[in-house]
Amino acid sequence: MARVELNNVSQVFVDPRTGRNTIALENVAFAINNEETVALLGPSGCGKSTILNIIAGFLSPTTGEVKIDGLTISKPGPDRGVVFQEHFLFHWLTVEENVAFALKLRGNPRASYLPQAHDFIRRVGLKGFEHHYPDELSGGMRQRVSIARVLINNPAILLMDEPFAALDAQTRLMLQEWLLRLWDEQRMSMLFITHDIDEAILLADRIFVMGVRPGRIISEIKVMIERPRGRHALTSVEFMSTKAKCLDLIAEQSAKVFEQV
Amino acid sequence: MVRRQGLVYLLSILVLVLVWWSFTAIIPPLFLPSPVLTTATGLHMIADGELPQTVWVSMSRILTGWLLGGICGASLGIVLGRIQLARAILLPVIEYLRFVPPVTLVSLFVIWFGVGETSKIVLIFWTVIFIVLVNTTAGAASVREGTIRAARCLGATHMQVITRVVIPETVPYVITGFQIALGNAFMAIVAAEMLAAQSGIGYMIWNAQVYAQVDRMFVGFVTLSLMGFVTDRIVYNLSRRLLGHYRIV
Repeated sequence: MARVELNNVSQVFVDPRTGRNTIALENVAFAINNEETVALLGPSGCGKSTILNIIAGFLSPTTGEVKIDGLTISKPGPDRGVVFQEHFLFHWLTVEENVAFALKLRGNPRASYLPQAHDFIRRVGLKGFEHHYPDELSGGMRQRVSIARVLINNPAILLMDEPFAALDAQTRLMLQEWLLRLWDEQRMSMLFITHDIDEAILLADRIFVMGVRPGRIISEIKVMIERPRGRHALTSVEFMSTKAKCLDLIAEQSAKVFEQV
Repeated sequence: MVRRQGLVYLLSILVLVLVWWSFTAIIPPLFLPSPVLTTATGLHMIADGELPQTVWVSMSRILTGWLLGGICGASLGIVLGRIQLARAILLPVIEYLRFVPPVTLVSLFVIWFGVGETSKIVLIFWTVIFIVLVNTTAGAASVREGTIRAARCLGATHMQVITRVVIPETVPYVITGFQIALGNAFMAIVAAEMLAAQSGIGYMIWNAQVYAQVDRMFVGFVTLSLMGFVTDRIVYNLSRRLLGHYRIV
């Protein structure tokens, strides 16, 4: 069974002042399998974040439904861990307390959540930083803390909303490789939102290329690069041919938008 | 650095005292007592127990009203900051009431609550609650949606979002509100004690004026500013020590 399933999801936003409707998403349907990484690739304004917000439960779709492990969702929950472009860590809590946040919510005693939190801090490579505050960490470290913070819930799906977009190029590549290694250990299912073609190809098993006005999925591309992957995948033949396909599809879309303007 | 700051502090107070002193060369002590005379009177009043007693009376009024008003203001502010409906209903009332100056209410509160402690504490409460409330509301309303979403997707209920995200994020605003309100509480209490009290620092100054004891009035001024300064420093240092990680400014 698929971990995430979207059926006929549409989203219409109504401008409260003019009363005009904007179709943000039209009939989006796809499934994400266990241990699979799916990338949603598209320009800003194509509705990719809207899809993520609907799956996360932050937004109710106008039509259609989202199922997690077969059950329809209606609100946010710990089965779907969201990592945002901004880290949104709790700045008054230490790394340890941030990572343990979800366990503390459930009233777990300190003796039980601390070892678990330390285990996840180690897994994201931040051993020794348990008692640091988010303000004392680099951008890349903060994103790793926010990933550990949701991983501790063992979510059915990890929803990544351009988590590396705000980082510099070197740090971004380092974190992409780190995320691939983390996947080798954890085998989490992921939906990764990005406008960066290279990032989509490097991380994903399948890429959904999105079109605009209205936002919809126009094409699915399978990435055949073998795992474990690393930076060398970026220069492989398979990578290049996949990138060529993506570029063509995106160029087509851009041309369409260009004509409309 | 801290040492140098302390030195500058001391120096600026010294300059103030010197300016005061130089004026006493021209103005007779009946109108402007010298720092020496003021200190002597003050020491005398400390020795006979009058001043400590007076300070204690005023301080306990201020602190009781300030804490009660601040806690109520902060709690209400969290509700107003997060619940649109509460804001729509209560904000117009609050915006109207908060412009009624506390001093104008002294006589009314005496009629309502008597000449005892209650009327003074209610007055301080009135002074403090709106300041802390307005600050807290602004803080609670400015918590970013992303932080709340992060907590929600970790499994937090709406109530847990309030207790574990909104309140910690609002701490700096609450503290600022408490600090500003403290100054206003001092103003309000003196006014109240001048108009309707038989004790306290305001009464002491008022009484000294009636008997033309300007030196006693000056002891009152100096004591008041010292009380304010010391209390503010205690609040400042305590809040930073206990709540330092909440980004207090």
